[in-house]
Amino acid sequence: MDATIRITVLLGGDLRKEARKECQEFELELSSGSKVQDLLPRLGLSSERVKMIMVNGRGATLDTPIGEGDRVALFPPELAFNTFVSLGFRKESVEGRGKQSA
Amino acid sequence: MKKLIRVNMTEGKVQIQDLAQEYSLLGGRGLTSTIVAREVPPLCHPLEASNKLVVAPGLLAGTTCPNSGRLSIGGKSPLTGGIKESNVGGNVAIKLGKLQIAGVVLEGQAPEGKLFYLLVNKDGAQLLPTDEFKGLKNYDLAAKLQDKYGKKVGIVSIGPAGEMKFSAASVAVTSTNGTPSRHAGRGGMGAVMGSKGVKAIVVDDKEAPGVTYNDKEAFKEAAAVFRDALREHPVTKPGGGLAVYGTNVLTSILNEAGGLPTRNFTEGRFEGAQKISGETMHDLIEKRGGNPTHSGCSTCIIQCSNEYVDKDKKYVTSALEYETIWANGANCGIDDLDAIAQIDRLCDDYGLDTIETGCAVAVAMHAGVKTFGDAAGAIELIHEIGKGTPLGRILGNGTAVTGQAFGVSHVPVVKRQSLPAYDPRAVKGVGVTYATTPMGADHTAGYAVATNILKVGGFLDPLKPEGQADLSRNLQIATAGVDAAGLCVFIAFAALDIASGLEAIPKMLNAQYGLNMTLDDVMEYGKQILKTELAFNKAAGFTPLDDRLPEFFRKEPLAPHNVVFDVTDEELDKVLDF
Repeated sequence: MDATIRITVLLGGDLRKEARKECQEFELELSSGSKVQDLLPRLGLSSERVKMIMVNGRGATLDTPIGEGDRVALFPPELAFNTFVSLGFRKESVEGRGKQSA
Repeated sequence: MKKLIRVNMTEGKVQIQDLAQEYSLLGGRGLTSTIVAREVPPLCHPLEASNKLVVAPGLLAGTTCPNSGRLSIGGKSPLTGGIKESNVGGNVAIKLGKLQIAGVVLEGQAPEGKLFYLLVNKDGAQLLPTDEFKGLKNYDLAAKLQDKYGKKVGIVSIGPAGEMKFSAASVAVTSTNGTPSRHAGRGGMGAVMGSKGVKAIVVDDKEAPGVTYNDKEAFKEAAAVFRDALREHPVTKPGGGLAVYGTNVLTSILNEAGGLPTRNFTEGRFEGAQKISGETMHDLIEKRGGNPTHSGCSTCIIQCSNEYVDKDKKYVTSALEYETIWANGANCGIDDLDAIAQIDRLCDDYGLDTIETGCAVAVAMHAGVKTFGDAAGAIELIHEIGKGTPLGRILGNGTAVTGQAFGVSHVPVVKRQSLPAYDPRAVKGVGVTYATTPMGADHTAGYAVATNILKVGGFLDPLKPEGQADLSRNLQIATAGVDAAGLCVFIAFAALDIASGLEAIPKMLNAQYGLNMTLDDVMEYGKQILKTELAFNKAAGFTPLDDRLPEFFRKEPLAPHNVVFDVTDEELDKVLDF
């Protein structure tokens, strides 16, 4: 049997209800070597419903690997308070200097 | 022709002038900051007769543009000693717009012990004595004024904190539901109003002439595009994040990002965050039969407000908001929403900025006056402020004064104004804004939080210093423009993500005023406002050394990311160096 990891999940906004969970925050077991995207089918969530992801409080993507004891938070598009970046007048500041990854 | 109402409180005279040509394209923060910069001696004491209180709706106020009901209240701040524009929603701005009033300027000072209120309607403005209203809290005052002038009037008022001239005193503005629950909280503008001897401004727009449009059809077209953008964006649309969860949607997000200042900025995560989160609050309000989705400001279609009710379904307060919940919740170690709602109601009633007050209470807790997490103790302290006891006077004069009085060195202020709900070590972009905005620590002056939290299109790691200065600068410029138009800062989500929504803003201004502004012109306009404000502060004695965060943000690592604020002083000095 594959080794498993135990993680903490936090669901923002409507995601708790969509995943039919009692609490916003709960623990979950996953196979080791899992990525964030492997979590979604376990919760019954589609990737369109997950816009903002944090792993241990850092910005992450569906491809981010998760390990033992990690904390994964998922937020839907209506909570994605991150849209200022798409403004053209800030291209210079955002794209020019800020291409570093999380 | 728009009018400017000047009220000389020394002489008790009201003068209604045509708005000078050079001011004709100034609204909101553009008008308040220009008048203050030109007419207030930068070195005056903010509570002296030579200071002025300027109340101005934005350029789009009174039109059919959605979310155009913001009101700017400006003067020299008794809290920061610099120029101040404190921004508030409610139902007054659009009434002034419909009455074609560009602003109300309170000048001079009433004789000691005398209190007045100003009645503004289609016939002009009248100054009336109000000894019977002395010492009244905002809710009682609003009820009395509504009994006299009708439920539909808009009211700008101060509570006991303003009358006692506390630096944390707010100016209350009535919400669409008639309660005095919207507040121009920051910077002690309530104390300036109190120092003038003005308890309230009642605005009645019955039979108001309405706004004139240079090209009404073009305006309607642009406003419809703007409305569609707000209705389309997931954050601002009906049933979207702000409508369902209110601004408190941010508690979970900031806590997760490790940027929710906890127990006087000593940690970045609060173990009780879920108990006070937007998600929990929504379910609680709904279960009790309150209203989780409410338009607090006239013309608002985003509906981030709510009406909080207690366990007996009785109304407590309106728009229990993220900043308030954080300042009096996580920042004080309190995880009880009912207690926080009560604190919000008390602050609204006494006329206090919930951010400054919560931060002052947290500093007092740090000193051991009460223990962190003691909700009953926090409520007791708010009553002390309202009663004006010696302890209350210390707290009511804000976080910096409280730190001094109790010998606390861990005091989160910039230019003596307390920091809002984002720890600058974990969200560095907003830290740059706190340090450099002429307003003193203020998140709304350049809301870098959004860009700092997740990568979409472009991304700035909130935990790294690179690029934060440029980000903050551009946001501060854009925000000054938004504040002058009188638009709600939340329109930015839709305007910035949906190109047609952004383009609609200059189109509306052009159609109303017969202009040919481009987006670049709007940005230049924002820059001019900042230049005006910076020049005032310089003349008031501010130097680049005032554009710094307190030392502990550079020294004490913040859990869980164990980061310090490390944007260099050189970078901070370049932010608004134009």
